[in-house]
Amino acid sequence: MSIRDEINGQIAEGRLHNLKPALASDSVERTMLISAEIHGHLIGPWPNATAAKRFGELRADLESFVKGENVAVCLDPYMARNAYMGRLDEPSDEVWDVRSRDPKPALRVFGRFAERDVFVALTWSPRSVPLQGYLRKPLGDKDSREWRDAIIECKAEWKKLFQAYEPIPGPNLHDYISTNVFLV
Amino acid sequence: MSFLSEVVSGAPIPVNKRAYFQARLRNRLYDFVVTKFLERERNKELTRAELARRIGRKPESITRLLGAPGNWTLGTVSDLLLGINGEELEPASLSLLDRPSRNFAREDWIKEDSSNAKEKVQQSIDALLEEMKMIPDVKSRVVMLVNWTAAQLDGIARLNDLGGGNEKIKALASELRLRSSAFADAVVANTPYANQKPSGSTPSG
Repeated sequence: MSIRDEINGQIAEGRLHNLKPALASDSVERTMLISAEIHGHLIGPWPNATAAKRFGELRADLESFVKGENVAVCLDPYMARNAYMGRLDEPSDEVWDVRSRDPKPALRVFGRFAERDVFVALTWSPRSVPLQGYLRKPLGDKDSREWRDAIIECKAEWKKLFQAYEPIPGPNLHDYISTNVFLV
Repeated sequence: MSFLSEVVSGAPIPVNKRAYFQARLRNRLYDFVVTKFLERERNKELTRAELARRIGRKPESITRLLGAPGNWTLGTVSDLLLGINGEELEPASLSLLDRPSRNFAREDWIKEDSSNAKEKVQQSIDALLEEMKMIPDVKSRVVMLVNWTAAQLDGIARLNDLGGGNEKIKALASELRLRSSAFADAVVANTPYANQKPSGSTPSG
Protein backbone atom coordinates (compact mmCIF):
# COMPACT_ATOMS: atom_id res chain seq x y z
CA MET A 1 0.00 0.00 0.00
CA SER A 2 1.28 3.45 -0.90
CA ILE A 3 -0.10 6.96 -0.82
CA ARG A 4 -0.88 6.49 -4.52
CA ASP A 5 -3.10 3.55 -3.64
CA GLU A 6 -4.76 5.66 -0.97
CA ILE A 7 -5.36 8.47 -3.45
CA ASN A 8 -6.88 6.11 -5.98
CA GLY A 9 -9.04 4.65 -3.23
CA GLN A 10 -10.29 8.10 -2.21
CA ILE A 11 -11.03 8.96 -5.86
CA ALA A 12 -13.01 5.73 -6.22
CA GLU A 13 -14.98 6.65 -3.09
CA GLY A 14 -15.65 10.17 -4.38
CA ARG A 15 -13.78 11.91 -1.55
CA LEU A 16 -11.11 13.25 -3.89
CA HIS A 17 -11.32 14.39 -7.49
CA ASN A 18 -8.52 14.73 -9.99
CA LEU A 19 -8.77 18.30 -11.24
CA LYS A 20 -8.44 18.42 -14.99
CA PRO A 21 -8.51 21.50 -17.18
CA ALA A 22 -11.98 22.35 -18.42
CA LEU A 23 -10.69 22.44 -21.96
CA ALA A 24 -9.74 19.04 -23.28
CA SER A 25 -6.96 20.60 -25.31
CA ASP A 26 -4.99 21.85 -22.28
CA SER A 27 -2.07 19.73 -21.23
CA VAL A 28 -1.72 18.18 -17.79
CA GLU A 29 1.75 18.69 -16.32
CA ARG A 30 1.05 18.53 -12.58
CA THR A 31 -1.62 16.93 -10.43
CA MET A 32 -4.08 18.66 -8.16
CA LEU A 33 -6.48 16.50 -6.22
CA ILE A 34 -9.39 18.39 -4.77
CA SER A 35 -11.77 17.51 -1.96
CA ALA A 36 -15.42 16.76 -2.69
CA GLU A 37 -16.33 20.14 -1.17
CA ILE A 38 -14.02 22.13 -3.43
CA HIS A 39 -15.07 20.05 -6.42
CA GLY A 40 -18.69 20.86 -5.70
CA HIS A 41 -17.92 24.58 -5.60
CA LEU A 42 -16.05 24.44 -8.90
CA ILE A 43 -18.82 22.70 -10.82
CA GLY A 44 -21.81 24.34 -9.10
CA PRO A 45 -24.65 24.96 -8.75
CA TRP A 46 -24.02 28.18 -6.84
CA PRO A 47 -26.33 30.18 -4.57
CA ASN A 48 -25.78 33.45 -6.43
CA ALA A 49 -24.03 35.01 -9.41
CA THR A 50 -21.17 36.36 -7.27
CA ALA A 51 -20.29 32.86 -6.13
CA ALA A 52 -20.62 31.45 -9.66
CA LYS A 53 -18.23 34.09 -10.92
CA ARG A 54 -15.78 33.71 -8.06
CA PHE A 55 -15.56 29.94 -8.33
CA GLY A 56 -15.22 30.21 -12.11
CA GLU A 57 -12.13 32.32 -11.49
CA LEU A 58 -10.86 29.99 -8.79
CA ARG A 59 -11.12 27.09 -11.21
CA ALA A 60 -8.91 28.90 -13.72
CA ASP A 61 -6.42 29.74 -10.97
CA LEU A 62 -6.19 26.14 -9.76
CA GLU A 63 -5.87 24.89 -13.34
CA SER A 64 -2.75 27.06 -13.76
CA PHE A 65 -0.99 24.63 -11.44
CA VAL A 66 -2.29 21.59 -13.29
CA LYS A 67 -1.29 22.96 -16.69
CA GLY A 68 2.27 23.48 -15.49
CA GLU A 69 2.25 27.26 -15.84
CA ASN A 70 4.86 29.29 -13.97
CA VAL A 71 4.02 29.63 -10.31
CA ALA A 72 5.57 31.93 -7.73
CA VAL A 73 6.09 30.17 -4.42
CA CYS A 74 7.11 31.29 -0.96
CA LEU A 75 8.53 28.87 1.60
CA ASP A 76 8.63 31.38 4.44
CA PRO A 77 5.38 31.98 6.33
CA TYR A 78 4.06 35.54 6.41
CA MET A 79 6.36 36.62 3.57
CA ALA A 80 4.31 35.44 0.63
CA ARG A 81 2.02 38.33 -0.11
CA ASN A 82 2.43 38.01 -3.86
CA ALA A 83 3.07 34.33 -4.30
CA TYR A 84 0.71 31.88 -5.99
CA MET A 85 1.39 29.37 -3.22
CA GLY A 86 2.88 29.70 0.21
CA ARG A 87 3.93 27.37 2.99
CA LEU A 88 2.20 28.31 6.19
CA ASP A 89 3.29 28.48 9.80
CA GLU A 90 4.63 26.10 11.17
CA PRO A 91 6.59 25.05 8.08
CA SER A 92 7.02 21.58 9.54
CA ASP A 93 3.23 21.14 9.37
CA GLU A 94 3.60 21.25 5.57
CA VAL A 95 0.29 23.06 5.15
CA TRP A 96 0.17 25.30 2.08
CA ASP A 97 -2.28 27.74 0.66
CA VAL A 98 -3.04 28.65 -2.93
CA ARG A 99 -4.06 32.27 -3.32
CA SER A 100 -6.82 33.30 -5.64
CA ARG A 101 -6.75 37.04 -5.12
CA ASP A 102 -8.62 38.65 -7.89
CA PRO A 103 -11.33 39.83 -7.71
CA LYS A 104 -12.56 40.32 -4.15
CA PRO A 105 -13.40 38.37 -2.15
CA ALA A 106 -9.97 36.76 -2.34
CA LEU A 107 -9.97 33.04 -1.58
CA ARG A 108 -7.42 30.73 -0.03
CA VAL A 109 -7.30 27.01 -0.75
CA PHE A 110 -5.48 24.91 1.81
CA GLY A 111 -3.71 21.64 1.15
CA ARG A 112 -0.55 19.59 1.30
CA PHE A 113 1.82 17.95 -1.14
CA ALA A 114 1.41 14.18 -1.40
CA GLU A 115 4.36 13.94 -3.78
CA ARG A 116 6.40 16.31 -5.81
CA ASP A 117 4.00 17.96 -8.30
CA VAL A 118 0.99 16.36 -6.58
CA PHE A 119 -0.97 18.83 -4.44
CA VAL A 120 -4.02 17.79 -2.44
CA ALA A 121 -6.39 20.73 -1.99
CA LEU A 122 -8.62 20.01 0.99
CA THR A 123 -10.33 23.11 2.36
CA TRP A 124 -10.86 26.77 1.53
CA SER A 125 -11.72 30.09 3.12
CA PRO A 126 -12.41 33.63 1.99
CA ARG A 127 -9.44 35.83 2.85
CA SER A 128 -10.85 39.08 4.21
CA VAL A 129 -14.56 39.36 3.51
CA PRO A 130 -17.22 36.65 3.45
CA LEU A 131 -18.38 35.10 0.22
CA GLN A 132 -22.10 35.64 0.12
CA GLY A 133 -24.03 32.39 0.46
CA TYR A 134 -21.28 30.46 2.27
CA LEU A 135 -20.75 29.92 5.97
CA ARG A 136 -16.97 29.84 5.95
CA LYS A 137 -15.59 32.81 7.86
CA PRO A 138 -12.93 35.14 6.46
CA LEU A 139 -9.42 34.43 7.71
CA GLY A 140 -8.69 37.96 8.79
CA ASP A 141 -5.35 38.95 10.34
CA LYS A 142 -2.43 36.56 10.34
CA ASP A 143 -2.74 35.83 14.04
CA SER A 144 -6.47 35.23 13.96
CA ARG A 145 -8.29 32.24 15.30
CA GLU A 146 -9.69 31.62 11.81
CA TRP A 147 -6.20 31.20 10.35
CA ARG A 148 -5.28 28.77 13.09
CA ASP A 149 -8.52 26.85 12.65
CA ALA A 150 -8.05 26.69 8.86
CA ILE A 151 -4.64 25.08 9.30
CA ILE A 152 -5.96 22.66 11.90
CA GLU A 153 -8.88 21.75 9.64
CA CYS A 154 -6.56 21.10 6.71
CA LYS A 155 -4.40 18.78 8.81
CA ALA A 156 -7.50 17.01 10.13
CA GLU A 157 -8.88 16.47 6.63
CA TRP A 158 -5.54 15.07 5.52
CA LYS A 159 -5.52 12.72 8.49
CA LYS A 160 -9.00 11.49 7.59
CA LEU A 161 -7.89 10.62 4.07
CA PHE A 162 -4.31 9.48 4.55
CA GLN A 163 -3.94 8.32 8.14
CA ALA A 164 -0.66 6.51 7.68
CA TYR A 165 0.97 8.97 5.33
CA GLU A 166 2.60 12.31 5.93
CA PRO A 167 2.86 15.09 3.37
CA ILE A 168 6.23 15.37 1.69
CA PRO A 169 8.73 17.56 3.52
CA GLY A 170 10.99 20.22 1.95
CA PRO A 171 13.25 21.94 2.52
CA ASN A 172 13.90 23.00 -1.07
CA LEU A 173 11.53 24.47 -3.60
CA HIS A 174 12.11 21.70 -6.12
CA ASP A 175 11.23 19.10 -3.51
CA TYR A 176 7.67 20.29 -4.03
CA ILE A 177 7.44 21.43 -7.64
CA SER A 178 9.82 20.24 -10.30
CA THR A 179 9.70 22.89 -13.01
CA ASN A 180 8.25 26.27 -13.93
CA VAL A 181 8.43 27.50 -10.37
CA PHE A 182 10.32 30.33 -8.74
CA LEU A 183 10.70 31.81 -5.28
CA VAL A 184 9.39 35.19 -4.29
CA MET B 1 -23.17 18.85 -21.35
CA SER B 2 -19.63 19.87 -22.22
CA PHE B 3 -17.89 22.95 -20.83
CA LEU B 4 -18.14 24.64 -24.21
CA SER B 5 -21.74 23.74 -25.02
CA GLU B 6 -23.04 27.32 -24.78
CA VAL B 7 -20.05 28.62 -26.71
CA VAL B 8 -20.85 26.16 -29.49
CA SER B 9 -24.59 26.60 -29.51
CA GLY B 10 -24.72 30.38 -29.34
CA ALA B 11 -26.72 30.28 -26.10
CA PRO B 12 -25.97 32.88 -23.39
CA ILE B 13 -22.65 31.97 -21.79
CA PRO B 14 -23.05 31.54 -18.01
CA VAL B 15 -21.26 33.92 -15.68
CA ASN B 16 -19.02 31.21 -14.21
CA LYS B 17 -17.67 30.31 -17.63
CA ARG B 18 -17.10 33.92 -18.62
CA ALA B 19 -15.27 34.44 -15.34
CA TYR B 20 -13.26 31.28 -15.98
CA PHE B 21 -12.11 32.53 -19.37
CA GLN B 22 -11.30 35.99 -18.01
CA ALA B 23 -9.09 34.51 -15.29
CA ARG B 24 -7.64 32.02 -17.75
CA LEU B 25 -6.59 34.82 -20.09
CA ARG B 26 -5.03 36.77 -17.23
CA ASN B 27 -3.13 33.69 -16.05
CA ARG B 28 -1.93 32.82 -19.55
CA LEU B 29 -0.65 36.34 -20.09
CA TYR B 30 1.10 36.17 -16.74
CA ASP B 31 2.73 32.85 -17.64
CA PHE B 32 3.75 34.22 -21.04
CA VAL B 33 5.42 37.34 -19.62
CA VAL B 34 6.99 35.67 -16.59
CA THR B 35 8.47 32.91 -18.75
CA LYS B 36 10.20 35.59 -20.82
CA PHE B 37 11.56 37.35 -17.74
CA LEU B 38 12.79 34.17 -16.07
CA GLU B 39 14.58 33.13 -19.23
CA ARG B 40 16.48 36.41 -19.41
CA GLU B 41 17.16 36.34 -15.68
CA ARG B 42 18.48 32.77 -15.92
CA ASN B 43 20.81 33.82 -18.72
CA LYS B 44 22.01 36.72 -16.54
CA GLU B 45 20.81 39.20 -19.14
CA LEU B 46 18.33 41.05 -16.92
CA THR B 47 17.70 41.62 -13.22
CA ARG B 48 14.56 42.80 -11.49
CA ALA B 49 16.32 46.05 -10.62
CA GLU B 50 17.27 46.64 -14.27
CA LEU B 51 13.76 45.90 -15.42
CA ALA B 52 12.41 48.30 -12.80
CA ARG B 53 14.75 51.02 -14.00
CA ARG B 54 13.79 50.45 -17.63
CA ILE B 55 10.08 50.83 -17.06
CA GLY B 56 10.14 53.48 -14.36
CA ARG B 57 9.04 51.38 -11.42
CA LYS B 58 10.46 50.54 -8.02
CA PRO B 59 12.27 47.19 -7.75
CA GLU B 60 9.79 45.98 -5.12
CA SER B 61 6.91 46.62 -7.49
CA ILE B 62 8.57 44.33 -10.06
CA THR B 63 8.74 41.55 -7.46
CA ARG B 64 5.07 42.16 -6.73
CA LEU B 65 4.10 42.11 -10.41
CA LEU B 66 6.04 38.94 -11.10
CA GLY B 67 4.49 37.19 -8.11
CA ALA B 68 0.89 37.33 -9.26
CA PRO B 69 -1.14 38.90 -12.07
CA GLY B 70 -3.86 40.26 -9.79
CA ASN B 71 -3.31 43.95 -10.49
CA TRP B 72 -2.11 43.68 -14.04
CA THR B 73 -3.60 45.92 -16.68
CA LEU B 74 -2.95 45.96 -20.40
CA GLY B 75 -0.51 48.77 -19.61
CA THR B 76 1.37 46.48 -17.22
CA VAL B 77 1.69 43.80 -19.89
CA SER B 78 2.93 46.35 -22.39
CA ASP B 79 5.50 47.79 -19.96
CA LEU B 80 6.81 44.39 -18.94
CA LEU B 81 7.17 43.03 -22.47
CA LEU B 82 8.82 46.23 -23.58
CA GLY B 83 11.19 46.24 -20.63
CA ILE B 84 12.03 42.54 -20.66
CA ASN B 85 12.67 41.97 -24.33
CA GLY B 86 11.74 45.07 -26.28
CA GLU B 87 8.62 43.27 -27.49
CA GLU B 88 4.96 43.97 -27.89
CA LEU B 89 1.98 41.64 -27.73
CA GLU B 90 0.76 40.49 -31.13
CA PRO B 91 -3.04 40.05 -30.98
CA ALA B 92 -4.38 36.76 -32.23
CA SER B 93 -7.27 34.54 -31.28
CA LEU B 94 -8.08 30.90 -31.87
CA SER B 95 -11.32 28.98 -31.96
CA LEU B 96 -11.97 26.90 -28.86
CA LEU B 97 -13.46 24.20 -31.03
CA ASP B 98 -11.72 21.47 -32.99
CA ARG B 99 -8.62 21.51 -30.83
CA PRO B 100 -6.80 18.21 -30.37
CA SER B 101 -7.27 16.51 -27.02
CA ARG B 102 -4.75 17.06 -24.25
CA ASN B 103 -1.33 15.64 -24.03
CA PHE B 104 -0.86 13.81 -20.73
CA ALA B 105 2.74 14.70 -19.99
CA ARG B 106 2.71 13.29 -16.50
CA GLU B 107 3.06 9.72 -15.47
CA ASP B 108 -0.51 8.65 -15.26
CA TRP B 109 -0.88 6.58 -12.13
CA ILE B 110 -4.19 8.11 -11.09
CA LYS B 111 -7.10 5.90 -11.92
CA GLU B 112 -10.31 7.49 -13.01
CA ASP B 113 -13.41 6.75 -11.04
CA SER B 114 -14.87 3.92 -13.13
CA SER B 115 -17.93 3.32 -10.95
CA ASN B 116 -20.16 5.20 -13.37
CA ALA B 117 -18.11 4.70 -16.52
CA LYS B 118 -21.10 3.68 -18.65
CA GLU B 119 -22.98 6.81 -17.66
CA LYS B 120 -19.94 8.98 -18.39
CA VAL B 121 -19.53 7.48 -21.86
CA GLN B 122 -23.19 8.11 -22.60
CA GLN B 123 -22.86 11.71 -21.40
CA SER B 124 -19.82 12.17 -23.59
CA ILE B 125 -21.68 10.82 -26.63
CA ASP B 126 -24.68 13.04 -25.90
CA ALA B 127 -22.43 16.11 -25.60
CA LEU B 128 -20.68 15.25 -28.84
CA LEU B 129 -23.95 14.84 -30.73
CA GLU B 130 -25.26 18.08 -29.27
CA GLU B 131 -22.16 19.99 -30.35
CA MET B 132 -22.13 18.39 -33.79
CA LYS B 133 -25.71 19.47 -34.35
CA MET B 134 -24.61 23.07 -34.03
CA ILE B 135 -21.85 22.84 -36.60
CA PRO B 136 -23.09 23.39 -40.14
CA ASP B 137 -20.30 22.02 -42.29
CA VAL B 138 -19.58 18.35 -42.68
CA LYS B 139 -15.81 18.70 -42.53
CA SER B 140 -15.81 20.31 -39.09
CA ARG B 141 -18.23 17.67 -37.86
CA VAL B 142 -15.99 14.88 -39.09
CA VAL B 143 -12.90 16.49 -37.53
CA MET B 144 -14.78 16.77 -34.24
CA LEU B 145 -15.88 13.13 -34.44
CA VAL B 146 -12.37 11.91 -35.25
CA ASN B 147 -10.83 13.91 -32.40
CA TRP B 148 -13.50 12.61 -30.03
CA THR B 149 -12.72 9.05 -31.11
CA ALA B 150 -9.01 9.65 -30.55
CA ALA B 151 -9.76 10.96 -27.05
CA GLN B 152 -11.78 7.81 -26.29
CA LEU B 153 -8.89 5.64 -27.47
CA ASP B 154 -6.51 7.60 -25.25
CA GLY B 155 -8.86 7.00 -22.36
CA ILE B 156 -8.97 3.26 -23.04
CA ALA B 157 -5.17 3.11 -23.20
CA ARG B 158 -4.86 5.12 -20.01
CA LEU B 159 -7.31 3.21 -17.91
CA ASN B 160 -6.57 -0.36 -18.90
CA ASP B 161 -3.55 -2.58 -18.75
CA LEU B 162 -3.49 -4.13 -22.20
CA GLY B 163 0.15 -5.14 -22.25
CA GLY B 164 1.69 -3.97 -25.50
CA GLY B 165 -1.78 -2.94 -26.69
CA ASN B 166 -1.68 0.36 -24.79
CA GLU B 167 1.07 1.80 -26.95
CA LYS B 168 -0.65 0.61 -30.13
CA ILE B 169 -3.90 2.27 -29.12
CA LYS B 170 -2.10 5.50 -28.23
CA ALA B 171 -0.34 5.42 -31.60
CA LEU B 172 -3.66 4.91 -33.36
CA ALA B 173 -5.15 7.86 -31.49
CA SER B 174 -2.20 10.02 -32.43
CA GLU B 175 -2.49 8.96 -36.06
CA LEU B 176 -6.20 9.78 -36.08
CA ARG B 177 -5.50 13.29 -34.79
CA LEU B 178 -2.77 13.90 -37.31
CA ARG B 179 -4.98 12.81 -40.18
CA SER B 180 -8.30 14.17 -38.98
CA SER B 181 -8.35 17.00 -41.49
CA ALA B 182 -7.35 14.83 -44.45
CA PHE B 183 -9.85 12.21 -43.38
CA ALA B 184 -12.59 14.83 -43.20
CA ASP B 185 -11.65 16.10 -46.68
CA ALA B 186 -12.01 12.56 -48.01
CA VAL B 187 -15.40 12.13 -46.36
CA VAL B 188 -16.61 15.44 -47.80
CA ALA B 189 -15.34 14.51 -51.26
CA ASN B 190 -17.23 11.24 -51.15
CA THR B 191 -20.42 12.47 -49.53
CA PRO B 192 -23.11 13.71 -51.85
CA TYR B 193 -24.57 17.05 -50.74
CA ALA B 194 -21.91 17.36 -48.02
CA ASN B 195 -21.55 21.06 -48.61
CA GLN B 196 -25.24 21.69 -48.78
CA LYS B 197 -26.56 23.66 -45.83
CA PRO B 198 -28.82 21.42 -43.74
CA SER B 199 -32.43 22.49 -43.78
CA GLY B 200 -34.18 23.49 -40.58
CA SER B 201 -31.08 24.22 -38.53
CA THR B 202 -29.42 27.57 -38.39
CA PRO B 203 -26.23 27.87 -36.42
CA SER B 204 -26.36 30.82 -34.13
CA GLY B 205 -22.89 30.60 -32.61
